[in-house]
Amino acid sequence: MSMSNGTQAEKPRLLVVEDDPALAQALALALSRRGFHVSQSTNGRSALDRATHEEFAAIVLDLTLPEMDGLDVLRAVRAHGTTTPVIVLTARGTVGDRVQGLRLGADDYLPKPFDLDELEARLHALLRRGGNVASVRQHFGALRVDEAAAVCYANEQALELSAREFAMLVTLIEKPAHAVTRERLWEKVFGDGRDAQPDAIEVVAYRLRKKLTGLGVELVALRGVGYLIREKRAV
Amino acid sequence: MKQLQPISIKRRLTLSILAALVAFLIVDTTVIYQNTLQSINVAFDRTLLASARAIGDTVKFENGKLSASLPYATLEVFEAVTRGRIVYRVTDFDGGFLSGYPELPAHNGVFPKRSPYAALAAFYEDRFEDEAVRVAALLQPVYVGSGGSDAYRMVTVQVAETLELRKTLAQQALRSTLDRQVIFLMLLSTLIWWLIARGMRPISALRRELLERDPDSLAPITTPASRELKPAIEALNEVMARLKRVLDNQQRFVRDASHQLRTPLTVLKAQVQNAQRGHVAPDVAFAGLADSVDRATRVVNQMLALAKVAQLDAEPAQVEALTNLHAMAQDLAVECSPLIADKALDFSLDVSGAEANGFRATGHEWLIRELFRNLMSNAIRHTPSGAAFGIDIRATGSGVLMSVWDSGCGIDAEREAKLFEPFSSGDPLSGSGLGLIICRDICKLIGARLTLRNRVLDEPGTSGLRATVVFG
Repeated sequence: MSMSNGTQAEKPRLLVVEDDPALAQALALALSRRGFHVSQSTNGRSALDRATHEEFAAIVLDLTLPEMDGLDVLRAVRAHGTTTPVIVLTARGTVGDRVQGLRLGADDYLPKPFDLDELEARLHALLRRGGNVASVRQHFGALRVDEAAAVCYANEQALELSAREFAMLVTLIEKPAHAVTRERLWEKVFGDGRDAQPDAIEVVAYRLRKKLTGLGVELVALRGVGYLIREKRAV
Repeated sequence: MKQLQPISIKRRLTLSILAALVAFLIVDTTVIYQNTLQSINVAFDRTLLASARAIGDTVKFENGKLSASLPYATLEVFEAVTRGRIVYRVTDFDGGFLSGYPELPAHNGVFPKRSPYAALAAFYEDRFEDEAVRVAALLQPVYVGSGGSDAYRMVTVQVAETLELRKTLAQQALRSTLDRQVIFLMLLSTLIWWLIARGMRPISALRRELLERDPDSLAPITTPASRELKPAIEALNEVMARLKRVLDNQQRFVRDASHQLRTPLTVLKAQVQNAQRGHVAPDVAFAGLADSVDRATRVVNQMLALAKVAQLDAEPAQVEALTNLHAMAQDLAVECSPLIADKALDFSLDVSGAEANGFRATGHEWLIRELFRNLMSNAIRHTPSGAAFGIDIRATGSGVLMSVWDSGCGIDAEREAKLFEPFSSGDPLSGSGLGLIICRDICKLIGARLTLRNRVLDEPGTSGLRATVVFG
């Protein structure tokens, strides 16, 4: 089901392990269109074989599989010493499953039914964390972030952002329309700087919000919780 | 794992009582046998000593010479009595052989200082011509004349008899004791078996009653039972009551689930058919399909949540945990943030009061989270775009209070009465009608109190609802 074209070599290779043919096909199509090279596996054994013998940038693993349970595949892959990032998909969705999956070496966890954009965002986050992709370009509305160059373009015009504002923007764009807690933002923006006040993050947010004015995106505060970035549209 | 054989109380009781009994009888028999043996020895030793005395009396010292004449008649009498062979030996003052059988080994032991007999005598076992013998040794004073302290000197008289009769007698005594004990044991085991069987009758009666019950019946057992059986029956009734709750929940769940799941699927099907025939524009059709899928997803999640609450209800141990409300509320806000962003709602989380106990509430985190996920979801659904809603956490004197408030239309009296009925959601298109049921069940489970009140606002034209959970 992989979509092959000229730029295949540059695309991150994904192994999608899913036994339901309709979902497997939909996933392969969606992820190929979103810039991944997708290989598929429909049962636990072949998934384990491919995961341990081929190079993948990430593995998307369903838990309920024929022949070998997804958690067993995960355990075996990790026991083999393969460190490829794994994102687990499951319809079981209980807290216990989630904890067990993460303990067995899953890097992320997405309960079914999930949003394809969410899956893509999580995959990008995993690839960045693993260092598999030198520079990921993130788009959000009119914004385009080049993380390697530490530049954010708005309608192809570079925005003048301080390092802290840039760090905050990148953290928020990683999860568009999804809140990030103040604590996590503070960590990302100030690093281990101990001189910053706890409410210094509000100052950065205030400045960033002003610089984003008129660009079709806005910074929203969830008072007492954190911030999120959303596309501005008439409501 | 090794399969354990089910134990029979009856057999175990009988066997252990019998084992104790047998052990007691063995000890008893041994003691009786020892006592008998001793009595026989004492009786025969007396006879033996008498014969030694008779021999001793014949020892004379005349003309500087010791002599002993044999009282054959006496010995024959003894031989007749003991039915064995009797031999003797007399040893002179200096340990030399004087008379009798030299093959009988000379006595070389000491004489006890105290003895039940009025004589210096010792009894012991020895061998004579390869036969075990019982020997009586007697120190016999013999008058040697000339007065003074040296008037008497001692000769040793030994009389030995073979042990046939003693052995025979001891064996007879043992056999009769054993015979008696075996009969005793048989009578007692029969009695014990019968008594235990009688004592076990209530258990067999209970077993019969359980087997004769309607296989589908989970009704409690009401038959009067003995004091010992009562706790077991009560535990059994408790298990059945729990099973009944689980079964009832499952039945209700299946009934509700089929209805709740079929509805959005029917809508989906109709929407797809409309789109296929070109009755609606593609973008309108897709928007409708997306809504239906979201609705079906919500219904499935809520049905599963409800089932899980019921499941936790059946396992009360799960409810004892402590949950940090502040952290959970933040987490929940992050989780719901896409919906908040979607409607551009003005959200705030307010915490007031002392945080001495860290705003902890008793209850499994999953339960409390599910409770507030539902309240949040209601608030988001009912608040108009761009309007405000939020969460308040407040410490009260005795506990913690957490409420979710919105800027929706509130509830009127008519709807208030139906709030906690399943599937009576005000808006059939957006709510599954299960959210408040889940909330109510969870509150019941964790011992919290849920109240819904319209907010009283100063500004005219604004309204809203506040759902408050008071943790005990």
